[in-house]
Amino acid sequence: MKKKKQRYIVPLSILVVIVFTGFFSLPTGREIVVKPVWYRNLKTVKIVKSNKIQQGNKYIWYRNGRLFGYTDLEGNIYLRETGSFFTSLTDKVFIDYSKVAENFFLKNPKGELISGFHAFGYPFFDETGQRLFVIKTDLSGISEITETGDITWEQDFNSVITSVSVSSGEISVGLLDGAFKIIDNKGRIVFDVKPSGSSIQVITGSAASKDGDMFACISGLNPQKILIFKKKNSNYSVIYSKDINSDFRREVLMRFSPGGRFLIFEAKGGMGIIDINTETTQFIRFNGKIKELSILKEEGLIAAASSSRNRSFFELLKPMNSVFLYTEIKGRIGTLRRIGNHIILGVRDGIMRIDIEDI
Amino acid sequence: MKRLLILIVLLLSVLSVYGFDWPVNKVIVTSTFGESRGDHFHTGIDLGGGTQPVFPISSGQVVFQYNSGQYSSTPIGLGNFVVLQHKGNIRSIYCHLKDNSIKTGIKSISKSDQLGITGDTGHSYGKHLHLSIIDFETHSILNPLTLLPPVKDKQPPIIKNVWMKTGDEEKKISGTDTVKPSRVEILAEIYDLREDVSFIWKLAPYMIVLYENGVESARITFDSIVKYSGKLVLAGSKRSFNDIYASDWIYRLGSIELLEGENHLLILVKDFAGNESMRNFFINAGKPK
Ligand SMILES: [Zn+2]
Repeated sequence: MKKKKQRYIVPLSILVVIVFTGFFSLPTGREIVVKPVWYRNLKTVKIVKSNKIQQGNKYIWYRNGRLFGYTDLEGNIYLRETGSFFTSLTDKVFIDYSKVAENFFLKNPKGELISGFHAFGYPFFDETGQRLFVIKTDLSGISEITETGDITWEQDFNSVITSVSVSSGEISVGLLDGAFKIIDNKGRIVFDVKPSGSSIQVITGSAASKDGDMFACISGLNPQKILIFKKKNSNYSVIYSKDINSDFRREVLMRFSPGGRFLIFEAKGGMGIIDINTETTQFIRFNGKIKELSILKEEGLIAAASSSRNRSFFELLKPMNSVFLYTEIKGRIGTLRRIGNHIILGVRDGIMRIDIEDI
Repeated sequence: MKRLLILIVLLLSVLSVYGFDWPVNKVIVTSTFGESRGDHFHTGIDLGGGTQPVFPISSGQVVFQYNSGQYSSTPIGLGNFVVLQHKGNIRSIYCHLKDNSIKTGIKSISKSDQLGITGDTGHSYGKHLHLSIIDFETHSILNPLTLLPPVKDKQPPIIKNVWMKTGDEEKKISGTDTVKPSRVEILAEIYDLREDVSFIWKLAPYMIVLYENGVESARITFDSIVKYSGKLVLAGSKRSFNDIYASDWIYRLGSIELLEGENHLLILVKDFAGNESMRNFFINAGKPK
């Protein structure tokens, strides 16, 4: 028994050192302090027993490879499960399902069953866990359902869905035929556009601002374009349209900053940032394809996770500036979530909290 | 007959223009276009045959692809997939490909270049290739079997059971039935069979026609799927998934008015190779003796 314990302690400590020194050794901006707070190896960490969980606990979901679960800012691990195929996670509720599942089981962060029902397709929640969508497995349609499985609305397409973005009200759907549609919370298509000017039509990325006032998409090949649409008196109109030099033939990640001033997107060889107020574009070069990004501060700070073949990277950057922290993570990179000015990041076999202090 | 001739001419012209080839060397059709997928039509065909290389059905440009581990805003049921654009805005989609088997970084591909390897990724019950073909000029999802070289098949489709339904009441039609004159919905259990296996492996037929007293009253053809009134429907009949399927393999053929006296129903079913099956039913509507 004693021997077994010792075997774990050594590799874990080495790992923490690698991860932490990785961050410390890199130069950061003068006014920003990057502070790793804790690291939990998901393979060896102790799970908090459900009868020891305090009421009103603030759960934070995480994912790293096939492992997923819930933690909190202190690094307590409340749930650690191996996903069946895909898991749609929110801080309140999750659904883990197998690749050919025809039943959805909604569970809370303790892993307790909330509801279960028969449904076809793959489920996914919006960020808040309030809205549940189902996408047809052949990507030909999307619907919104209640937590008991009743369909609120559905939309089918004689095409293939290539990108979906969810705001608090409307959602947008990008299609293989180049159409970009905005659907309101009753399932009505309130905006439908097929950006022209490219020799091949396809939508390869989309983003929605939090309030649904702005949507954006990357459209077409030869040339590829980026477009931003803004809501005005319940109509959407183009406020920005520009050819970009990328040639993505896959989905790329795009996000609006929380306040809606910046649109951040994967660009050829790095990241593009559009300042919507000034219509200026900034390009920041770095390695790999962007897998996740989180905007820490409006006009301030972006955290990005990217990968290139078997290499993973974590970057902190400032819009209209440059990458000021750049580190290669040896092994896999998982969750990248912003909780206030804390980051929960999945690295190697674990998760860690990093605090970003602006002084 | 005239319709059929037009269809044949149309098919031949499509074949000569596009000249599509099978995407795999060993062709085993394990699922056909239009089959029930629980709540929607199967919008392509499935090809079995284990692990094998996948080739484009024609040369084309890579428009879109997904490889596991890549960023995606939604869960992907198609697994690893590639979309190619061919002449005339026709696009072909190759799904469930093996992890890391898709050639990346290529913009165009010729017929003889390997695209990937068949796999079991996404919503899949076993190694197979799902192939879809969409015509973005006419906005229709096409039945690949009408565009690819013919498959060998000598077995006619099967018309297993037929029911008439009034309200919630369902009655199996034996062939010599006596009922009250009324309006009834005709349901039929119909399937084609895979020829290369000894057990029952069902496939959807190509065409189902219902005749009432010698007059065609309904026709279901799995040619193409279009969007109509916000729903995906079969192009010819404009009927949606729920209009066609009562459950898997049980088709809603249509409603007919049973008139007093003898009513003759004829169900004609064709498969993709042109094999036909037919069944006659005589329903006596009147007061039971
Ligand atoms: Zn299929």
